[in-house]
Amino acid sequence: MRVIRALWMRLRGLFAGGGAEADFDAELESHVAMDVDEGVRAGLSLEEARRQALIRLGGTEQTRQAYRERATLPLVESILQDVRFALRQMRKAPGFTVTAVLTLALGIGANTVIYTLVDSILLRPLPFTHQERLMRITGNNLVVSPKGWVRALNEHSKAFASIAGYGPDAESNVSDGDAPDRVFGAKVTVNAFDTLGIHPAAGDFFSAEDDVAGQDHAVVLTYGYWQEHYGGSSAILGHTIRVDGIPRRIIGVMPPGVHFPYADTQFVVPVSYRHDDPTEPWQFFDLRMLGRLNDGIAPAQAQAELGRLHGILLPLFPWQMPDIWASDMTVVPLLEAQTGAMRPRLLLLFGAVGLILLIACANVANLMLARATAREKEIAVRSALGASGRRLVQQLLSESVVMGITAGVVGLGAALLSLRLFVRMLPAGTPRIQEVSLHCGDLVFTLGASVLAGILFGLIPSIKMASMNLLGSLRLGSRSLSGSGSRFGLSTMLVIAQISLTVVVITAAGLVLHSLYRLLRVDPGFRTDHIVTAEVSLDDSACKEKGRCSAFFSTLLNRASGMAGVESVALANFLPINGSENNYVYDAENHPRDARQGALLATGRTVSPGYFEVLGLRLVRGRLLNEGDASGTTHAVVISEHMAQRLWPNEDPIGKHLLNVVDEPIPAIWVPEKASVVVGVVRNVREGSPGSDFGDAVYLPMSPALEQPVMYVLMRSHITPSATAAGLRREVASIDSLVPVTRVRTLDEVVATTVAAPRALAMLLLCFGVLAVVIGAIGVYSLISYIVSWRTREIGLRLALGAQRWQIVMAVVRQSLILAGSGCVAGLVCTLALSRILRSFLFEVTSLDPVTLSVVPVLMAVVALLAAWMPARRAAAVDPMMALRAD
Amino acid sequence: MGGKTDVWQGTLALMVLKTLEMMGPQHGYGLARRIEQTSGDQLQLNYGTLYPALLKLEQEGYIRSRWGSSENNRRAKFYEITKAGQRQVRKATAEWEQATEILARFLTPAGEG
Repeated sequence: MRVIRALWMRLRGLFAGGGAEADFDAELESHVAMDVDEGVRAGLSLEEARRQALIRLGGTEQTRQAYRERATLPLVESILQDVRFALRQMRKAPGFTVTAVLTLALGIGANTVIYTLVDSILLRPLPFTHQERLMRITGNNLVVSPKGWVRALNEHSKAFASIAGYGPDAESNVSDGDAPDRVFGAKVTVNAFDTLGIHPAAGDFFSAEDDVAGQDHAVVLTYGYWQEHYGGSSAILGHTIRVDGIPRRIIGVMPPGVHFPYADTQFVVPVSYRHDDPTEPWQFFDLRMLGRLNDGIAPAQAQAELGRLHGILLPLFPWQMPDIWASDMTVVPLLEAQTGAMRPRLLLLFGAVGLILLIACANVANLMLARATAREKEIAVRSALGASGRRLVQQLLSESVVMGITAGVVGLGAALLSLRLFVRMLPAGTPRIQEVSLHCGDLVFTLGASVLAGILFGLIPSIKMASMNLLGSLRLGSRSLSGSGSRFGLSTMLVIAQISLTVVVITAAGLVLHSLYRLLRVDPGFRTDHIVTAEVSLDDSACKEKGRCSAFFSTLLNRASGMAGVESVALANFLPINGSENNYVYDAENHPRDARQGALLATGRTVSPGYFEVLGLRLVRGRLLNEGDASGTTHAVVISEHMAQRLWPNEDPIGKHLLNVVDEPIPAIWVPEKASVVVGVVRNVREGSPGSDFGDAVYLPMSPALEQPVMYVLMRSHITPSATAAGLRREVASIDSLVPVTRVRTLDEVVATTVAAPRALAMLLLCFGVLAVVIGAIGVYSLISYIVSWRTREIGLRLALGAQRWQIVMAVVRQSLILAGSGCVAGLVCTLALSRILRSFLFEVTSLDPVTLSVVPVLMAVVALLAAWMPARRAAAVDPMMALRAD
Repeated sequence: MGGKTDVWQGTLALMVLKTLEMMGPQHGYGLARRIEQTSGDQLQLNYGTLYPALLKLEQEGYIRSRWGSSENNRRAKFYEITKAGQRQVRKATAEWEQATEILARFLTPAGEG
């Protein structure tokens, strides 16, 4: 305690200013005076008394020094002194300071932003108890499983404390006595919240009884939904709302910050079992799994156990499952599973901004070097007066650290201002995007980066300066006529390194940008222009009343076709490019299989006959679906060219049969009457994203057997999208005013969102590429202009001896081009070495992409020319007489 | 002056505190003289070293200071012991006595103990 108190007092002493010293001077004076009084009283002369008093004291100056050392902290004081000196130096050369601080601030700011994203999305733990024990259980042969499987694993696994399942992210009609909203929700097994280890913010979570069909009418809200719709009132507990037409009691609220199972989830309902039907738990493959590991169990051990359980539990299915199903259950930490796709992209961006910081450091190091040369004499004098090498380095380093921290503060401000902007640039589906915020750790990172940057760029110049031939510079007194070659050696190397790093960043940006261009140019297989899409959703339970859904939608189709400005209308249960998860599981004619094989998969889509016309999907063979197929009696389906080729290469696909095997014992019993008949083949379309390969696609008619509560409307119109949407809303309301029309988008927008992630990556890299080029250009510019100013006398002499001004300009420009050229070569070599990292981000572009590899050097040449332009003009304007006379 | 001893490291603080406790508020010069007198003029005190020591004690909160006027009307800074300082005196005295006692056992021939 006493020590801390003393330390604190001394720290205060640092900033006390002159008052304390004056006080002590007075005390000392009175001390000496009293001693002298005594001496005089003892009979000494005034002089002698004073002399003896001072001897007894041990010298006033020494006493003062000892007192000062105790009053403050000498080490801190010397650092403060350096800092004050550094600030003075920075003020003395404002141009230099502003350039250095700004370039460095840009580098630090970009790093802070990207680090904040990396930290918020990839590093910060999920808001669950012992979240490191939470694992996703997935596999290539196991995307979704039936609830029976989840329950069986939960009961048998010893590695997992519990295993829970959660259903797909689905929108439902939620109504609280008024017109329903479309709200995202999911179903979860009743043990899900215990598995996560969270406690309700209000009410309770599901109990074991909630998993009995018929007693499962409970719903748990997310904290956000609760706040927004019920103002966080606990009075709503026990209140009943209708979810897709089913009344459900609100029993609890999730804690704040928990978005489970999906980022946009607003409510969850329990997964329930019908206890009278033993096959029911095994029929619907719609759950994903997560589990909590028992203490001390490694993911690999758990995975091994699941592998053993697979063989034991597979026979629990009421029919024989293919062995391959779920044979590769994999255990992945939940955090990793959630952020999987974003991880490499963010790390790439982090790498890019790291390079930018290095470029900025090189810049400032160079500026410091240039200034060091200008301050040679000052350093020489200091060292001649007895400053040690260490003390000199400390002083110079503190200058650069002060500059680094100043830049850090500016950069942090820039990061704070631009963070939201960057977040908006990320694709909407980015995991944990709503949690992005600047935390304490990020500030520490910024501070660390600033100080490190300061040391990094301060070390080179300060060591060089401290080891300079100072005697020489004192003796010479002034600049020599021409700079010796080695004078700029270090600077030149720094600039070349800088350019090569810039080249690495912009080559990466260029490659990714070119990939994006290729991606956007891909023909998805259908027309996307002038099409408005919207989702029209009946209650999930609406189709229980046979024919109600199909009647609604056929009325809607009729009315929408009659809307002014609408050329053609179609309905589909999935939008084009968005249906990759809607599997049509089937057996095909002439493709027999045994029980060990899985059935075939294609993308299934239920469509109205107009679908092909609206999208401009060309018929290749046979006929399209028509009104007659809607009765279901024709069993007609249309398939894609790719599927026809794969199933029946060299045969006529028309008239061949397919048999849907969903919910059927496997393999299907071949019943030709129940099978569908291929009546036509259409062109291929892409699913998922324009970058994906063509897949198999099956188009099914909207027969009564396939009626669905939620359909997308696609309208080709020549009026504005908003007018088209307004028309549609009117038509829907005229049929049933309680049916919501949501997600109104043009098909162009729908397709654009599928490339949102590569687009965001390309745009961010482009930003950073520009940043790198700007900072690199400043580097080239400052070196060239420094060389020019150093050589003013030499240039003057040359001009006096008859050199032409254009020759001087050429010499300067040539120097800049040589720098850029060497930097380019080094940078391209580095990029090639790094090409393995980049490969996974590229689409139809190799890392040896000729376009990028030729554009980058041209760009660098232009930058070099621009950077050399001002210094070259200054060089050409040198007045030979002035230059030679000046010293 | 050859017979005088330098002040041992770390003992000056205790001397100052004890003197202040005994004599009440003192200015620096008076304190220096008093310490020399108490030692029976055996100690060689460099007056200059007294001030950093006083500053340290003040920073630690064992003493406090204020300006006042001396007996012959000179302005001087007076030091005064605090409650914490008195506690410190008792503690340091006990420690010091223990230390000398232990040392005494070594220095005194064994049989006589």
